[in-house]
Order: sequence, then structure tokens, then C-alpha cells
Amino acid sequence: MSIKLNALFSDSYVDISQYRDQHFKGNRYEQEKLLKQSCSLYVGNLSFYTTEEQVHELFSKSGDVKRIVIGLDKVKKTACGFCFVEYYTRADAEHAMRFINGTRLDDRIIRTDWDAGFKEGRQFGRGKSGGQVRDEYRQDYDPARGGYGKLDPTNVIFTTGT
Amino acid sequence: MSRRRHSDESDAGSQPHKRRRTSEPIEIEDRLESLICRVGEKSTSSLESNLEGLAGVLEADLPNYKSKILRISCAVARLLPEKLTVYTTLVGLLNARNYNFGGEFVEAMIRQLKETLKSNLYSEAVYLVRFLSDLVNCHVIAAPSMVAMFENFVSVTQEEDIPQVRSDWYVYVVLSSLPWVGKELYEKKDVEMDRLLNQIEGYLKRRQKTHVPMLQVWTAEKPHPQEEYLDCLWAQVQKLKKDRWQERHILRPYIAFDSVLCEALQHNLPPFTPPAHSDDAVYPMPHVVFRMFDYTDAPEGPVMPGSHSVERFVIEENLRCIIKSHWRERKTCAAQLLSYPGKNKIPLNYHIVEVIFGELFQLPSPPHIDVMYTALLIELCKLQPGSLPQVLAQATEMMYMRLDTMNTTCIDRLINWFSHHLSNFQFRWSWDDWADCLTQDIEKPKPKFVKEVLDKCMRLSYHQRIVDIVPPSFSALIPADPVCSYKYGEEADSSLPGLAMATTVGNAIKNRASNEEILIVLKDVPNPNQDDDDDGGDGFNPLKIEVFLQTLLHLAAKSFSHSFSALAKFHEVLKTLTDSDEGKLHILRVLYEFWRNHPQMISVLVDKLIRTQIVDCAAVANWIFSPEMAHDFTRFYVWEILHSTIRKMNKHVQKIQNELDEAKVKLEKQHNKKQRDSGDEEDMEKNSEDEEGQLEEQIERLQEKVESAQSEQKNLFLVIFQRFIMLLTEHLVRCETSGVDLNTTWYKNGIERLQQIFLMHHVIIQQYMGTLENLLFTAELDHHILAVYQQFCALQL
Repeated sequence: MSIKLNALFSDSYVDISQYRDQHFKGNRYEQEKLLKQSCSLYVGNLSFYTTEEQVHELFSKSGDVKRIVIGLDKVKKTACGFCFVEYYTRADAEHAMRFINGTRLDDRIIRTDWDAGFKEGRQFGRGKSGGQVRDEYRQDYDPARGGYGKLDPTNVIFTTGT
Repeated sequence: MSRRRHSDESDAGSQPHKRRRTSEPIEIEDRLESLICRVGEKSTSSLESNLEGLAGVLEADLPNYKSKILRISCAVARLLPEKLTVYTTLVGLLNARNYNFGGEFVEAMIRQLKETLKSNLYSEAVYLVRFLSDLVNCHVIAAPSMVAMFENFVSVTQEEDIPQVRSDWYVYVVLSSLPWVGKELYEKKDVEMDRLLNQIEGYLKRRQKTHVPMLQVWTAEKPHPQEEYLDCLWAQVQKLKKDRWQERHILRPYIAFDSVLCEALQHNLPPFTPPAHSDDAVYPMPHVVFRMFDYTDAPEGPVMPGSHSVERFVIEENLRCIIKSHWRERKTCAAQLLSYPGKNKIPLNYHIVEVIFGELFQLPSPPHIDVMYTALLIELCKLQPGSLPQVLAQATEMMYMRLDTMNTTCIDRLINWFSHHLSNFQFRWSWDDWADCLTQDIEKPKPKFVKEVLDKCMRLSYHQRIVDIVPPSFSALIPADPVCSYKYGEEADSSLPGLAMATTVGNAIKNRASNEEILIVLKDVPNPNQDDDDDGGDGFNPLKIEVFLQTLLHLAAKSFSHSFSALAKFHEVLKTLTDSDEGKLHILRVLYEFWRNHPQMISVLVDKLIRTQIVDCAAVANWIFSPEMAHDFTRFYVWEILHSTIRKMNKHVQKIQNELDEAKVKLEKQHNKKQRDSGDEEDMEKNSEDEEGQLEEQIERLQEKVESAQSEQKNLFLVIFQRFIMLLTEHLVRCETSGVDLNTTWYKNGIERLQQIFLMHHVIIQQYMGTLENLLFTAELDHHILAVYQQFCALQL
């Protein structure tokens, strides 16, 4: 009775993505191991005005939330459109990946991804202007994310994109 | 390094393992799995030709891969019930080509059935029996032997001293197979089948149905009665029999192959005795059939099959099976639901919406996590933007109209679903359609529902947004602006006790005072409860708590994180101030006073206070039932807090239990190791003895911890039930003596909240039934309250 029919019962929303944190202290294998056990999620495409309270309300729908860390602009120390959500159990975090990822918060489709675990310093944007990298070279006008991107032409960064 | 997967080891007996390139057999096996799993899915060729082709491939592979093919076939029978007839046809074709395979398959299925029953996997066992019965239609199994199996199942109703849910299940499994095989069995063995059905009828008449009211979503019989599941199924089978077993909904690919299949030799099922009842058997709970639509609801297009038609049963079963298979993959799940075979003959969108809400509102709990259904409905709306949202809106409207008789637990779930759903669609709703609720008393179900929905919508957005989305006439239902209420602020009366002290404390905190320093500052706060001051001022002092906590919360009011930091930083002070039970109760009162406009903040702070052990669970329970909270007693957030508290208590007990179990396992491993190593050197033996001693000590400590935790858990439930009984009895007595109708809105809420405690925590509560019955739910209790307890007991009888 042990056969699982792998061909059919996928759980693709829970798979780890291609993104790897370039600042992670350790090798790829270690990072992937942590991602596969993690109870922490990165949440992106938030509005700058989305509050911790809103995040808490939404993400509590998949289980008890242990901690939320709102991402901040490194210079201004204001919210810059991402956060981390940590659950007490992996199972609760998996439910968030299955049912909250790709739905709306504050009218925006948010994206969740596994995170290897919060460490001090990771709550700051890594873009040159202080916010997230994606807002450096974004070309559209997004009033909930500070308007136009910073678009510093010298700021060409190769990432796997967020 | 051997690349043989452990599943290969059983092949060793039936064939020598050929050591070719080791990746090849595994690839072929995966391919076989894929071929079998995917047959029946969308394809350019017809289903019949796909089945024919696959049967040919598998027949050719039988010499080398029989074991694997058997295992995959058994697995799809168990795990893909929505494709039942596709796979029975496949097995039928294989049996026609290879009689031995058919025999071995049937044997394997019987083994699997025994295992699922032993492992309490009753829904899978149903699928297996249904599969076997459909194999009669495919000429794999002889009808008389199937009837004999059914006779053995029904004879369980004659067993004595068994829980009703056991005999229920065996009757259910027979009845629920009849849509597939009723015709064939009646053609071959009508006398026996009549006898069988008579026995079932007799059983259904005498079984008790005390549990039904507790499981109904609506208490009203109109427009759709919420029928007990066996009653409904019986009515459906009766109607099918009256229609001479003509069933036209089920897709039956084997009909196309009749000429081939009827040439096949059939097998007899071995005599199957249902495994005896044991104490660790956990039978499925009874349920009530959820209906919200009938043929009058779908405006155009195909008509919805009647509530007692067997088609309705089959459609609901299949849709539920699809959800069960694909709930993790919401896009796939939605696509599979919408491509249901035979969808052109039924109002599929209505069926889907009905099944989804049926699951969401299922009592005691939905089969899957609530938020899954929200996400699934959103995906369905995306795939059918021109039709599904309208059905969903129609369903919402219908449920709003019937709120007066809807079970409170189900209303909770509806509130959560609706507010979350709206937040994905810019909160667009025709609120004006619900203007009728504005003229009603605000505690009535409809305005209450709207109010709670707006509360939840606000949590997902912000106050001004809610003001903007509803018409001005709805202003009475808009939630309060979630600002804090600081009593020591600038507008405070100068004579307010503790006012000056609050400023001092506030400054101390701002100047980064330590816990000790704060406690010293607080020593000067007078105790309004005491006349003499020479007890050292360490007893319960409500004013100290108020001054400190109000000030602290005020300084940290900016966000959850700020408040959490504050509580963490001054944990010591809080612990000291709340040393007594009165202290714990008072801290909750102060918290409520301060954040009474922000229920979400109250919830998260209560959670933190419990987790940091500043208050215990019983204190929260007592606080919720205290007179100060009477005003909010019917509000949703209060019950969310209570249930969250109970869950934390349960998880705590579970955690220590797991630690204990792990330690016991470790000890056993130690014992085994010792036996193996005995005879080794003396100091190794001594080391292992030390380790064992440590483990034994640890186990003893953990054992005590478990017992203490369980005692706390039992006490929590006792407190909660006691308080309910007191409150409800008071109401009932008052109504009786003044001749007033007891069925007020408040009472309906109260009695259903009591029910909700039983339903949401039934597994744990079952452990404490003895105590509950002896101490609380005795015969002296008012029969209205006792009825709730009795209905609960009936769930597993």
C-alpha cells in the first residue's frame, strides 16, 4: 500500500523556486536544505502602505503566525514593499504557499516564496537607492510603490528577478 | 551501490532481476505509472481507443512488470475514485486477455481492503468496495459472490454492543455501491437483494438519530431539508429501484466493450468477513447532506437532478472525489471540476458551488483547510468569468436570506469566506440589496452578519476603505475606527487615581528603565483594595496593573511588533504583577479597556500573553465569561480568541506527549542496543547504564509534565463548560419564571457556541467524557443544555 502515484499527486505550489539569496552565508546545498525545511516565507509585491496588521490577518488564514518582519528601505527606514512571515509549523507555511500565494492583499497580487530564515539585516532593501532591487529598474508607474522606478542606468544587476 | 528500489525486492521471487542498465526498468515503471494514471484525460483519441491501446501495452508488459502493474492498478482504485469506471474497464479488458491477472488483481484488492479497514481509512475502503462492485459490470467478478460480500457487510447490523457508526458504515458502503451495480445484481440475484434491502430498511428504522440537529447547517426544513446522510441515500436507492435501476449519469466505458468482456471468465470474490470491532477503530462520523440548490435555481440550461435522484448522489460523490485528489493544486482542481464528464447535461456550476459550500460548512469540520475553498472559488471564477461569479453571487444572496436559521459555526465560516473573497475583488458588492438588515435590531443575524463581514474586511484593508465601499445608510454597521483608548491621556480628569504615576512610569520607560527600576517606581502606587499597607505591597494591586499596562500599551500602540517588543521587554514586570489569578484576569481587563476598538489587536496580544505565560488559558476563559465581557459576548472575535486559546492548550499537551514518546522510543533503542552489545567491555556497559538512567529520569519528568498539562487541559474545559451552564441556565430560569420565550437571539448564539466547543474540539473532549458526565452534564441539568451534550455523545455511538 506504499505506492504514492508520483505521476499524479503533485504539490507544485510548495516547491522551492529558482531564487537564491546571494547574501546567504553558506553554499547552495545548505541554502536549499533550509528552504525545504523552512517555516518562513518571503512575501513580495506588497504596497508600501500595507501594514503588519493586514499581513497578519491574511496569513493567519493558513495557521498561527509566529512573527512578521516588515521590509524597510535601508535609508528611509520606511516600508518598501516586502516582508517575512514566519509560522510555528512547516505545514501552516505550506498552506500559505498553496492558497495565499498569488492572491490579493491590499488589492495587489502578492507573491510568496520560501525563505531560509530571518537574520538581522535581511529586513532592508538591497537596491542602491535603499528600496528593493526590483524598484531600481522598474519602468512602470506604481503609485503604491513610490511611483516610477529609480532607474539608475549604472545599476545593472543580474539577478533571477523577483 | 545498489540502485534497486525497495519495491523491487518483491519482484525477486517472481522473476530474476536482470542486471541490464539499471535505469531502464525504473524508467519503464515510471512510464507505466504515467500511462495508467493519465488514461481518461483529455485526448485527441476517444476514451475507448485509449483504453484498448493501453490494455494492449499492459498485456505485453505483464510477463515482466506484472507486480508493478498490479500495484498501480490497486492504487488508482483507491486514490482516483472519480475515474472508477475508466479503471474497471481497463481491468476488465486485461482480465479478458489474461485470466490469471484478473484473479491476482482481485486478491490484491481484497488484501488492500483489509489493510485500509485495519488502518481506519474508511473513505478509501468505500472506493475499493465500489470498484469491486463495478468489476461485476466488467465481467471480472461474479455477481453472486458480490452479493455474498454485501450480505456479510449487512450482517454487521446484527452485531451486539457495537458503536452505531460501525454498522452505519457497513450499510453505507453497500448502498453507495448500488448506483453502479444495482442493476446487474438485481438481474442475477433479485431475491437475495430484496432480502438485503429489507434488512437495511429495518436497520435504518431502528437506528437513532440524536446527532442530526448538531450537524445541520440550517435548522429550518425549508426550502431544502438537511437530511441525515443514510436517510437521503436510502431514499435515492429506493427511487432508483422504482426506476428499475435505470441509471444514466455514470459514464460506463465498458458498455462499448461488452462483446469482448462478456466472453471473459469471471472470478469469485473470496468470502470476506468484516474485521471485528476493536477499541482503536475510528469510524467515520455521521454527516448531513448539504443542499442549497434545486431545479428552480438554475435559470436556463440543463435541469438540476432532484434531491432524491441517484444522479445527484453520483455527481456530488465525484465532485468531492476530485477535490480530495487535487486540493493542493488549486488551478488543476478547478480545471478538473470544470471538465467533469457529462457536464453538458447538468448545471455544473451550481453543483460545484453547492459541493464546495457543503464541504466548507461541514460539521464538525471541513475535510480541508478553510482557506483552500476560498482559493479554489477564486480559480473557478477566473476560469469561468462569464458564469461562475453569478452563481456565487446567487449563492451568497441565498445564504444571506437564510441567516436566521443558519448554525452559528457555519455563519462564522461564511463571514470569513465572504470577507476574504471580497478582498480579492475590490470589495465590490451590491450592499444596497441588503438594506433590509438596517431596519432590524443590530443583534439579529442579518445585521450582525454584515457587521462582522465589514469588521473582517477592515482587517484586510483599513477603516476609511470600509467607509468608502458601503452606502452611507450602512454607517451603523461600520466597525469602529481601531484606535486605542488611553485613560491617562491629556483629556484625563486630574483626579483620576494613578494619573501622575502614569506619567512617571511613561518617562521611566522612555528613559530605558530596567524591569527592576520599573518595579521600584510602581511600589508607590497605592492599592485601592487594601486598607493596611504593611504587606509589602506585593499582593494583587489592580491600579498598578492599570497604570503600568495602559502606559506601556500606549507607548507601543504603533504596531503589533511594537506591542510585542514592549511585552517582551517588560516580561518580568508583567509576570510579577500578575502572579495571582486575580492579577491575570485584571491584565486582560485592562488590555480590553485599552484596545476595545481594535479586536484584532486584542486577539494577538492575548495570544502573546499566553505564549509568554503571563496569563494562563483558564484566565482567558474566565475573562471571556466575565460580566465585563457580556457586551461583546456575541461578537465573533471573542470566540476566535477562545478557540485559539483551547488550540494552544491542546498543542501544548501534544508537544509534551510527543517529547515523552520520543524519549520512550530512545530508551527502547538503548535497551536493544544493550542486549546486542552485552558482553562488551565493562566501561561501555557502565556508560550505557548511565545513559539509561538519565533517560529514565527524563521520562519520569516528562510523564509528570504530561499529567500536569493534561490536568490543566481538563480544567480548562471544565471551566468553559461550567461557565456556559451557569450563563445559559440563568437565562432559561429567567425566561421560565417570567413566561418569556426562551428562544432569543442571544440564547441561540449561546447554545450554538456551546455546541461549537464540542464540535471543534471533539477529539480531546472525548478523553474527558467521564468527568464531564459526572460533574457537569448530569440529569439535573436543564434538558435544553443536556440535549447538546447528548447530541455530541451520539456522534460516535
